[in-house]
Amino acid sequence: MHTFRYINAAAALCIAGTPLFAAEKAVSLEEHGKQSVEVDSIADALTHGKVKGLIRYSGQHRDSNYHVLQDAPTDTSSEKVQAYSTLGGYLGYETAPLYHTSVGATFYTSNPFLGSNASDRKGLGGLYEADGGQDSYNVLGEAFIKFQTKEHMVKIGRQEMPDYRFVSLSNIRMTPFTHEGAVYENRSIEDLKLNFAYITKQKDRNAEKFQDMVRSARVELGSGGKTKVRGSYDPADFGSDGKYAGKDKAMSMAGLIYGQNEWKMELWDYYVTDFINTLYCYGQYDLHPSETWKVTLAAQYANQQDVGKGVAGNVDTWFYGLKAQAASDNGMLFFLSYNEIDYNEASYDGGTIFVRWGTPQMFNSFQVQDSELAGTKSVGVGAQFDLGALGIIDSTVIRFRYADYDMPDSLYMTDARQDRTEATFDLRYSFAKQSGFGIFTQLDGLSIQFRLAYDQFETDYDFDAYKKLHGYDLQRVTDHFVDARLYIDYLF
Amino acid sequence: MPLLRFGALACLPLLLAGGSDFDDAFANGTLHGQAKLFYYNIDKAHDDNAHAFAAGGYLKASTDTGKRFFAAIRFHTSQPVGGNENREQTALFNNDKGAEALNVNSEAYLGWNGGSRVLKVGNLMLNTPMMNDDTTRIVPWSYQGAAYTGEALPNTKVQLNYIQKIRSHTSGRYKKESASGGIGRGITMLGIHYKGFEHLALDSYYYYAPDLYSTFIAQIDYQWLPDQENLFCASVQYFKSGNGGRYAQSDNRNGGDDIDLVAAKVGYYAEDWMISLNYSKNFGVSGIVKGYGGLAKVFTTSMVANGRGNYGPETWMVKTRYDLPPGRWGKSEVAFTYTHTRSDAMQGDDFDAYYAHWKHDFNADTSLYLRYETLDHHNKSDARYLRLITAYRF
Repeated sequence: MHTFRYINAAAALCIAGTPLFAAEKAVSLEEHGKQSVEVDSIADALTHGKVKGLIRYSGQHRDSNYHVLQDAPTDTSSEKVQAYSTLGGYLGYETAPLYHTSVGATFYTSNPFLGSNASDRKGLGGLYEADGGQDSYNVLGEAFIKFQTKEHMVKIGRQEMPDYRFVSLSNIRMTPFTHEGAVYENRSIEDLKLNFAYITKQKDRNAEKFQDMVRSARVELGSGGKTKVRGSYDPADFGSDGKYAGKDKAMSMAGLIYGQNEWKMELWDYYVTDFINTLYCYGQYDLHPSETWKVTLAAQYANQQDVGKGVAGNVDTWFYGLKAQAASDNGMLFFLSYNEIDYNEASYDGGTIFVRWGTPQMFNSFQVQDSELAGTKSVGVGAQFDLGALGIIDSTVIRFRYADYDMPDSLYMTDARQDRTEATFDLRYSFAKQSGFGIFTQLDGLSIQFRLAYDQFETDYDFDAYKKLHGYDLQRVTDHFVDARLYIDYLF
Repeated sequence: MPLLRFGALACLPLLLAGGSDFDDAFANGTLHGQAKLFYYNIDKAHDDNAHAFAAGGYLKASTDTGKRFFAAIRFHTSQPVGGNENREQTALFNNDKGAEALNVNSEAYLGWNGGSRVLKVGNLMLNTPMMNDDTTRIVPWSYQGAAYTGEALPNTKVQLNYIQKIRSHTSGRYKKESASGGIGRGITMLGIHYKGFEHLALDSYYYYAPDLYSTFIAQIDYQWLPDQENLFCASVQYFKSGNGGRYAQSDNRNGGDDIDLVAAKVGYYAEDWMISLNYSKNFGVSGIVKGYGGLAKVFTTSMVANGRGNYGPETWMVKTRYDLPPGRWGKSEVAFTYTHTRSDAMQGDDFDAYYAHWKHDFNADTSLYLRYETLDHHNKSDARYLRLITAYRF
């Protein structure tokens, strides 16, 4: 691990260049903001690099202490609120390429701002929570050296990894996941992109430290009296708090993306030593029933198995998904999707999929519900309207979604959960662009995003009988809650 | 926190206004940074030694400061690299978290520019005698609050600061804690500077910290330039603290409610060398090493040795520096300082110290700095300190 520490330090220092090529200071942000072009001196590399910056206000409020990330099985029937209100973002600099090589570093920060950020409202991950409160955090999330040509890209160190499916940014709080490792991308063959990575660590969205890929997967022995780990495992790998405490484990990743005209296929594999291997396949095909409409049919499948020592015990699960989407030229989009997750009581947490290295990939991963829990069968529908393109309201995009999550909920089931539904509304407004963007499109300049989710839980269960049978509670959530999020971004 | 909220409220209309003014403020903004590689070795005869390498620096972006409203943000980082021993003693890293890597937000403020008046609200780096940034490591001290500077009156500058939280140079968190104790309701500082008399500059500060201690500072600087190549100067300083609050500790080495220090300096500056004789006597029990934060700006200050300790030290210090002729690879300077400190009190620290440095500037932005100091203590073990610092600004 020391290797990457040195790279992090070296990346910062390489920006210094050599004494003989010092250059002017304090160049304007406008000049730095332009795309870097190859330069031929260290001085130019230092002074013609790229700045990336984001000023973000983010506030989130959930009138429940239901915490989907840990799927807390404790009694959550109180009216406790989770909330944060923060100001922060990131500031980074990457030198211009010299001999196709550049170095970069980015700082990320989040700070309490207006509103209530009381300790007893923590849980959503907008601020630093590891010490029991909700506090500021600052972290050097990127520090890398990069070699890039038209066909090859090698990047080593801490970095954002936005495009590797199960490994991605999940930038839905204040700052994204960043990872530490080495990546190689190849585009030598037309229409084919190959991705390889060796990832040693990950920084959680609101963390100050990078952790290995087992801890980052949020492996735990159990909680609330329920044992999540199934089969054989080494108890010495877990601390007294039930969290993984064994040796650091890294992930090896390979990905293939091939597409031509109407179709595209992806094949990914993520192998975490002595933990799990995840195989993920994705395919889509575009139909053009008319000149103004495009219909996309997509399918996804993943299989997750324990490997090596199996520090999380048995893992033997899968999921698949189907999706049909219709999009018009003038900015309307409709979709229908289905996901099913394996239910296997011999697997970790009944077959729940490990997804915490990035954005969950299930089609029905919505705002609060991620559709990764054991045995989930979900149906989702949605509609999105680019009001600017439709000539109704400039610079505005809205989206409505609804999903029904049918969970394994029989009393005898070890990993039963409440059935639930989620309805969401999203709005994005740009001060810089009139139309042609989506809810999550990265937009320069000032933009506002508002997201609202209404979650309804089925409560018609005999909770007492369940506890009597299993010795622990069936997760209990108030029958409904609202999750609201506001982002005001200025990207430069 | 109310100040921060006020700043936020001021910012929101600016954000929401959008439009060209806002974009122009960014387009005409600036970005600069510094990279540093720092090696520090502490060698003590009988105690644990310490040494560490650190790599880091800062990145700062600011909007157009010529606009009525402006903003800036700066991050500092100090990362341990290579071998080390007792690295927390080097004060290069995050001592709140076992001397791990230190990443901090050292500046994040909104500014109002009213011509000869400037107001900044947020996280600030300050440069005042008892609250300053102390740039002797990679990560400086910084302060959370508001700072106003007015220069509307001729020859006069007025500073008014209110600080509610302080971040130490070995911490990533802003706390209600100064170098010399809790600050409770905060610290308010008034500074007045007058340059209306020929050859003279007058500076006065008053720090009001009701829960810690308050401090009055006065300084007079006299300069005489008989010609372009010679400068004579003489200065006196006076530090007096009192009004101890609930967090005050009188014999605190970093500062307490019994500072009573007089310092004086006479110096001669030629074209390529200088020499000064510095003197200080603290008649009080309280030290003034770090003051409220940073390093207190007393004339008797070397790299480590200083006359700012507690229990009434009396210090003589001779400083001299010589600028070597510029060459193809830049220009160098060498310096030597001798410090002689004695105290009447039993608890006082008597020592003699010898300091030398060689600093080479390859150009305006790139430097190599080698610093060494040895302290011969009379009543505790001797110590030697070595720092090697390479720095590059961009």
